[in-house]
Amino acid sequence: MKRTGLTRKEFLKAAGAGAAGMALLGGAGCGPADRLQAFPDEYLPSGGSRMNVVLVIVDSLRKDHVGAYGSDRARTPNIDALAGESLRFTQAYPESMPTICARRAIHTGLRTFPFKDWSTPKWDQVTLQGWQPIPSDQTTLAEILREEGYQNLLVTDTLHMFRPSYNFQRGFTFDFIRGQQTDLYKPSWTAPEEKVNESLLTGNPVAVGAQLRQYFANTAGRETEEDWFAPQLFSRASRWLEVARHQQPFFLVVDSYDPHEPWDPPEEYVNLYDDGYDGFEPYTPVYGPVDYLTERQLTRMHARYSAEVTMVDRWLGRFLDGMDELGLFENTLLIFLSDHGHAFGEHGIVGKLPSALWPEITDVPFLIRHPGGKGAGQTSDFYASTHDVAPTILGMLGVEPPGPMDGQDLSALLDGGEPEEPRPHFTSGYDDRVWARDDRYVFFSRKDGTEARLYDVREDPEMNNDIAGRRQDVLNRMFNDYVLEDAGGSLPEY
Amino acid sequence: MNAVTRKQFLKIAGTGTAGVALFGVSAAVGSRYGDYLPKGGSKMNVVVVNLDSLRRDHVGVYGNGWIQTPNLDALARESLRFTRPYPESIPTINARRAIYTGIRTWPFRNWVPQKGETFFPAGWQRIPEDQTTLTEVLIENGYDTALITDTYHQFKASMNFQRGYNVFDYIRGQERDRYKAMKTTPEEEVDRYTVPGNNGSMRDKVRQYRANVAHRKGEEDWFAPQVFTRSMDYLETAAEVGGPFFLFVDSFDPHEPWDPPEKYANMYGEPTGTGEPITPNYEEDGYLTDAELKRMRALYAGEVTLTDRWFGSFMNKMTDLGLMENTLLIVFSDHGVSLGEHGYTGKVARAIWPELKDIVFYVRHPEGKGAGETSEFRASIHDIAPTVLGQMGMESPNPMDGQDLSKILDGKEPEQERPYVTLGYDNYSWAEDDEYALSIRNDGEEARLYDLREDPEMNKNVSGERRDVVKRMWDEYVIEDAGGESPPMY
Amino acid sequence: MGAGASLQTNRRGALPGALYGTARWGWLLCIPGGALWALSPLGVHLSELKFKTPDVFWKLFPFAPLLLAVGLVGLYLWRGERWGTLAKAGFWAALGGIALILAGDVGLYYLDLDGAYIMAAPAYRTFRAGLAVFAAGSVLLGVGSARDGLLPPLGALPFAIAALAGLAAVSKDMGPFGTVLWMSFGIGWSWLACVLLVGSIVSFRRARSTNT
Repeated sequence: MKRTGLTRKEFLKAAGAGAAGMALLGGAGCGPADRLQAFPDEYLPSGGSRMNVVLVIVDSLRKDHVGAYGSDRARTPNIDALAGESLRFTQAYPESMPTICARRAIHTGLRTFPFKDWSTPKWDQVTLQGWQPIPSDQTTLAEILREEGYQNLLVTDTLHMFRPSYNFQRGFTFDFIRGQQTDLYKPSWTAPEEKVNESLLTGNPVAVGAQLRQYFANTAGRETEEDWFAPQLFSRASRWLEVARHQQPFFLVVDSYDPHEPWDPPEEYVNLYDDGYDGFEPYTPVYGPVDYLTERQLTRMHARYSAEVTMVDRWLGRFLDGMDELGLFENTLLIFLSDHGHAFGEHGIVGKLPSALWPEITDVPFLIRHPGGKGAGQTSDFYASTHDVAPTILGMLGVEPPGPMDGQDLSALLDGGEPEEPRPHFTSGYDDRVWARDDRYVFFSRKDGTEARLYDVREDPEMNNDIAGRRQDVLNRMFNDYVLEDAGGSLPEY
Repeated sequence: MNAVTRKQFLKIAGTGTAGVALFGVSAAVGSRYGDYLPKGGSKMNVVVVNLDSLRRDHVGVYGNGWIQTPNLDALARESLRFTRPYPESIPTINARRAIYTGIRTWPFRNWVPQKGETFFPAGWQRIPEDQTTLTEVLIENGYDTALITDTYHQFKASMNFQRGYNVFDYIRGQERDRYKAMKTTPEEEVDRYTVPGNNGSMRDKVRQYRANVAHRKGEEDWFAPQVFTRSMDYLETAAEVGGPFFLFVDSFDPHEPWDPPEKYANMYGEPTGTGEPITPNYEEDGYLTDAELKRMRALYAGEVTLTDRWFGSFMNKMTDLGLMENTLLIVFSDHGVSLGEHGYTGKVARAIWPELKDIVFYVRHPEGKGAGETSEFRASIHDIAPTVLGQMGMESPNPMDGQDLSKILDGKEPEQERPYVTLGYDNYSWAEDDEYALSIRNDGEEARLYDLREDPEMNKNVSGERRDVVKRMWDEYVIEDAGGESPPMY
Repeated sequence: MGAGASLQTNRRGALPGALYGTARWGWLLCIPGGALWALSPLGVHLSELKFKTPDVFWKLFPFAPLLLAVGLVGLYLWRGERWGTLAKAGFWAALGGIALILAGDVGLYYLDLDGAYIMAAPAYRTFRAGLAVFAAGSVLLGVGSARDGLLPPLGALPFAIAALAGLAAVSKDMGPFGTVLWMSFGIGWSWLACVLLVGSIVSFRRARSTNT
């Protein structure tokens, strides 16, 4: 019978050679460990304990329309259930707004604020500071995870990501769902006129009419609820999960544009929040003063928004159920956040204007659900933000980013501990406006410091009483110590 | 008339100065606004059809006796057909930059490879911001513009070929489009659609591709059918609403992978029994057996016929909608593909030969100008934008390198003669006149010279004996067209 | 009362009421008509600014040539019988031109005729032709009536020159320079009518002073 194992003689020989080898390594005066560091780390097999990652980004979802945050303005049972199993950040803010600026930070872990080197790609119709593709010298989370053997999937209907020159699909297998808002998907002349005729166009008939016409052309032919955007998005994401679970680990980004305007979820949802309305439907707002709407129209518009929030919540719930059925809750890190809110007249403004940086726009929900249950049901008032997402994911996976990131790994907070670096204050930016807060005051102004507003949020949490005139000292301190400090000393001029 | 009295004269003079003053005011006001006439005028619709990788020698009317391309043949009867067109740069994205801007992409100076891309021939990048595209000019002039394409390179990260379009519709799934999870393709399927000689990269390509197309059922689900069907849908709505439109039907077929439905796949040959060679390695053809190479050629021809058939449906739809009467139609391809004619398959930069660089090019004028005629003028893809704008009487804000081919449509001499042409692919350039053809690397090495009168098939490299011709062509053609310096090496 | 008055009574007897009104005062409309015409480049600009398209203005544009048409007819009824062939040819051409302008404007901006016939572009071509014919007719009218002394040369000559400028402007798009020429054309019309107005007031005053 042939022996298959090592003889003791062979083993000792190998052990001796191994020891000699180690001596050689150690012989030059450096410890073996240092020498080992000098070699590239590809000689080690890659692998190790890995979690899947699911990142759900929901555009325009206000913190005060999520039940778990203590609100009853919209029904969100599924997000609430998720919050019950997650660490919930009660004072999360995007490090910059809006949509694309926030996503740059999410995908790179680097701050987009203060919008240095801003240039709008040709043919983009949005000209907000910082609204541009991810710079090519920045590495994205997907690119890093791909190197680590992850399968990366991006499913989204956020139309801005498929404009010319945009590159958020770097590193991803991607599925774009066409047709949201003003996506140049179908010829706008194919819009059914009845839909346009029933829409509220006051405030700016030409612009609103054109936007809605494109949208109605894109969405003509929708029949059942499954055909709407959030349902399509989450259904496709669920199908991805079924495929992805055969090739774990995966990194799945589900980026929902809903509940961004236009707000026309199926009737049943709208009826949950409003009935007996008989006028032109305010599907989309005109950003600016709220007085172009009557009271009734405003409540109707707000009801449509809440309805769309509930629809998103419902289909998110289905997606989460799907995850659960596939057993993915046991081994998947789930992060849920929004990029900004939307104003409905709380401070006389409707829409999201850079000059209107009140809580209805700046406050966002942010949940982290750890598969091991860390932090479940807990809250944290740390100023968590969009640029913390990438460092947190990498930190939890034990992956080093190729370069320093601006955000922080929030893992320690899940364990109930202290963050790596405290954040006594936070700053943000939106086009040419800046915003800052600490635990007492919230302030925002133009980049040059004019048109400033200041609120003492301990006494005036609703921010109705602007004390900028009386507390110039606080304003100056916040502008210099917070905004300019975080911006690296100066704000770029454009 | 009576003589004007001094009093009258003074009166007239006085009012004259008042008039001048008024004129001055109107001048001050008027000089700010240059738009005082209504806009409008005679317009044609424009439909541009690109059939990626369609070889000139695989179209019946261009001299192929065995392939079935009845619709491309019929088109020649109603069009001006260029017999010697060429692409000013290869491959796909390089060509499209030139198509959209009318500016040469070659030589590929200042090339910045794009992050997120996986294919890096020199010059492969998005349209530079400072160049204006054909569609951007047309849209300024009241056109509705639409792009319907399955050429997936155009929707990769950072690409911007949808600039200037009111409507862009991307059909997902071609070749390596990161559309579905490639790991869902079972290995047996990858084996079925590759030959043993296919390298790992091609196996991955097939893996991704088969995952992308797993849902296909009937012929209408294949790519060329989808592209043309969606284009026909667009035409229907455009015809109803009136107003001039520009439609770019950019069909990736007949680019590999070559897996048309069975009836086309078996039209020109039988399967070998081992795997179907639906995608070539981009290298010498030694990895294929004779039978496999033959099968590969048959599959390619089958996909050409599939594409031609649906192109025909598209033409019929245009006729039904009455669009043939008021639409300028340009049909062309952007390059060919090597299938072993000179020992290579795929598109290899050092292996530029007619099978790779010879394209088709038709211009059908709605008023029948040039119908049924041919022209030996060496038309190129960067002439498309100037021709379309020239026909509409529009100007592009940036000077274009290409020519307006309208004069040739009218039967006259072209604006500028092209006694020779240059083109490039990655680090290699090609120069050709009526006598010789030269392939050469951009550092002057690896020259291949062919005497076209004696050796039109370009099998005999005479660069050793005719160093003088090589030098002349290098200096007078390549360096000249590249702006005085040799084209860059990367 | 004098010869002027008796002339009026005679003419009154020959014409129905509305036409008489036009005859009496219609030519005054050339003042606002010409002013509107001169301001139209501004209108184009404002329409682009506010509505992102010049078409909103072009839909309103017909008011200018309409006023001028009524004014032209009024001018003819008031002074026209004694005009020579040149001036009469000019009158009919100008009126015909305005008709083409109106037809073209309606076809282009109201009926979107050119959207249906994109290669022939009939509405646009009619509009442009109308502009040219109107300007050419105005030139002939100005020259002809100045030469015959039947419109004061003070009015007619600058009017003819302005009409020539207008003809140049509408024959070829000359950008900002063309805008100036176009505006002068409109001003020329107003000028002509103003001169006639001043002349009427002066002779009316004279007639009154000789009567008292």
